[in-house]
Amino acid sequence: MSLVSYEFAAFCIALLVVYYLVPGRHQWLILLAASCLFYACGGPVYLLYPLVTTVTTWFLAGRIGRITEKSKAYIKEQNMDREAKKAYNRQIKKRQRRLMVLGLVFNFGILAVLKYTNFVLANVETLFHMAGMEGEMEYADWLLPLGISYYTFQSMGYLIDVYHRKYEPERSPARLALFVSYFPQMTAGPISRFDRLKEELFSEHPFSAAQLKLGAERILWGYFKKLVIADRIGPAASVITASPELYGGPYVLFGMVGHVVELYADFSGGIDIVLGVSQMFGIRLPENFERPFFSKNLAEFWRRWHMSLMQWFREYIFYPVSTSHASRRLSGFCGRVFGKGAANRAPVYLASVTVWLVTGIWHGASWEFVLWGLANCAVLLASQELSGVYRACRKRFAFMNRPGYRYFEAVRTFFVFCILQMFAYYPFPLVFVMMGSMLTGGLIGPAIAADGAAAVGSVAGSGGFFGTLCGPIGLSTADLAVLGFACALMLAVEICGRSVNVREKIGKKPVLIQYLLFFGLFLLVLTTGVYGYGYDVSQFIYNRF
Amino acid sequence: MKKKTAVLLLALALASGAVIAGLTRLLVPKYMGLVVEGNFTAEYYQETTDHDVLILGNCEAYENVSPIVLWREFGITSYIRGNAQQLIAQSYYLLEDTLKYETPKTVVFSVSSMQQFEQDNESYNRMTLDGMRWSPSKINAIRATMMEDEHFIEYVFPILRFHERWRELEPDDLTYLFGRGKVSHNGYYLRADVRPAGEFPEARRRSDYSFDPRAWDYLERIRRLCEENGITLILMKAPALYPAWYDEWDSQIAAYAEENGLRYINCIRESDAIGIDFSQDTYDQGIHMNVYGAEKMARYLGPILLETEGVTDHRGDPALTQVWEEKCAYYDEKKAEQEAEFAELGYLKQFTVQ
Repeated sequence: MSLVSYEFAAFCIALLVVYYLVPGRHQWLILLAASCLFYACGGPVYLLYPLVTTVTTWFLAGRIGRITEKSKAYIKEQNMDREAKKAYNRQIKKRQRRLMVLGLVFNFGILAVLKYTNFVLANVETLFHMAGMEGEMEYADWLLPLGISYYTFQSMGYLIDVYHRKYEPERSPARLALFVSYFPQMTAGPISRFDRLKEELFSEHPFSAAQLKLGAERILWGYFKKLVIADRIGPAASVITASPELYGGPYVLFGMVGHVVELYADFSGGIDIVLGVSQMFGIRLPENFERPFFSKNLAEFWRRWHMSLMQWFREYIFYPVSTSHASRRLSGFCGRVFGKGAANRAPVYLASVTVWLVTGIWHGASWEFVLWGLANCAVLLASQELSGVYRACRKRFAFMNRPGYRYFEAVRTFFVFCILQMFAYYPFPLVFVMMGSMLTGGLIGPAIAADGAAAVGSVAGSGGFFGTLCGPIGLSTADLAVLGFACALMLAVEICGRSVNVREKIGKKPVLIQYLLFFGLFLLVLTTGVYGYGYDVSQFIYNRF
Repeated sequence: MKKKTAVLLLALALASGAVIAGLTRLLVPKYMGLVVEGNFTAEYYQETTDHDVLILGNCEAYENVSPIVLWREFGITSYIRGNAQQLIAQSYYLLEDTLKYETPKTVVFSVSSMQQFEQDNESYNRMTLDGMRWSPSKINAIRATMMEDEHFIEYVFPILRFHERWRELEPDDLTYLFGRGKVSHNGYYLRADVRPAGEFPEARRRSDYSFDPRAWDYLERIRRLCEENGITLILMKAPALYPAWYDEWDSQIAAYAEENGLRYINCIRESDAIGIDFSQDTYDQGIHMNVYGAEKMARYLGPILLETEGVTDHRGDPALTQVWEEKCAYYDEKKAEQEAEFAELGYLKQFTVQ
């Protein structure tokens, strides 16, 4: 069930009615049933995947918890001295680690097999062909269960936290099942922590018209971003990037910026819908974006983009890797060979490369994404190395401390991200060719120039200067006008959002003003949204993970 | 204060409804230009008198028989409930819908829709179904014939389907915002231009000539519905040269008719008896009849219809005569207009892509 479907709207409305009719203590059970139903819509077999993850996680976390309890009781009972206690704890930790590793290997194993088997097979096939061996591999034809990355990461985060004794394991498998499979966040995250989400999920939520209204407003804003912006600009940008031999010069720039605008509008729009739906149930999920395009550098950008995933990587990959035995050994080696500075940097470098390799492969099972991850890592580490130079420059040049420079930094970060994104959709060497084309290339490729008129004619309402230019990529002058207005509106709201909470501010206005604003937005989505018959119910980009 | 807010919210809700209704009116296609067929279904509800004969089916129904000639020469009151590519299931539900308003004595069903059970173009569904009044029949018609990508709710709120038409709005959309003119003559689509029959590709051999079982099921349902309501059902195949009407299909329909005691008229075989001249009586090279062919068809069917139980000559009824005189005058006027235009230009502007 797509978030952009009439079925989803009907599902949520029906669920809201039931949710607020049942006694508060049973509300979570309704959500659990709804989550199962939501998941089973893709086919009952898809229920099996989160079920397996829930059962294994619940069982292993429970075992880890019981070992902790028993060991505490044993230590108390035995009245051990410090050393004996330490030795006993080490032994206990070892047993618990084994259980945790078993859970991680099993669940990440499912994810890896489902998501990366074809990638591995394709590489093996390439190697065979390079070795002169003929034949074709038989590829797996598995459908990826919805949100498998999200619920796997979320449940494994829980398992690791229980291992680290950050909180007690959940006794009820049903409650854990809701944490794993809570339907709004199954589609595009955010990835939540159990200790924070459980308060929201399992407490009673009396009906609140205010929450309902705020949730609906957020959903509407999400649909605006998704249907008016992302689904309009996305296909046009894809036409350009799918045919690099045809489109040069400004088209490459449009494709590059268009892809990023689509990605942001699609992903943050999806998150707005998810958070809005959840808010209607009285459940607050963590934010996943904090106006990332106002970041002054790439590091800040990644702290403000897909925040819950980056936090997960930081907490469960970066810190463990940077403090691991391997890291310490590498640090020691670097210290001996290159000096103290290298010794300090080695763990950070190792952890960063690991995180970005995982980030890359998480975003897509292809070498393009691996390179995209490493390119991000390279820029981040380079800017970290150059931080001293920046500081010196700021002291030396006064203009760098002025507010205008802040905007320059934001624009720069936006374009750095745009350029890095090119690694994700152009093959590696072509990225540089297209960058060159963007700066020096002609307006249009010869093949398009030849039959451009026919292509232009194929788009209703195309004509005039912009229509002629954008006709070949499927946009009419009217589309461009809608896109221009919608992007300006999105930008204006983001700018206002830096100093105030826009929805709260609107909420303080007279009812008539609020109504006019949101009804206007509703009409905008209703009439200019890309949906309905003939619309490919394209999933949100981040549904694929 | 609370009461004041509630009143304001109610007023705003009503205003929202009005705005959305207005937008819907603006954005839905008006079908008053090149394509007028989208108005046929709704026009039926403007009828003020009952009909003895109901003609049901796809384009072979609404383009091939002139109800005006049936009245003028035989005193038969008739109406055609046909639409472009109207599926047999839609014909069944339109019959069901008609029975809510009147019970005709005879139903003539055009069997060419037996050859295609599923819709292949969503526009045809919209043209047939959007004009239907809401009733269980309409709901069932939508459910039975919706294409895979269609959604029921888009029929309930047509703005969800046509929301993108703001970019292609025409003066017609404003002209006909609050009402559309009549485009048919008791469901008949009048064309007075002539395009002699041409060459058609030879009918391709098929591996299977059997009709879809679901089409048979609906034909049976039409038959039963007629039987239950004391209506005489006549099956008819219009005199079209294309697409091919295979002998194998013909014999299956003939067998069904015989088995159920129905009359089956294959007008292709009866072309000579009808007097059809394919060099004069078609406007699209032999696929559909023009007004001259449709009038000949009416003259051929008139006596047959008068033979059926309950169908009578109503020309002696002053109330009916008054209503039909108006229809005849309108028909004559439109026919004369088209004839003059065709004589002058060699084509009809309204139905020609400029």
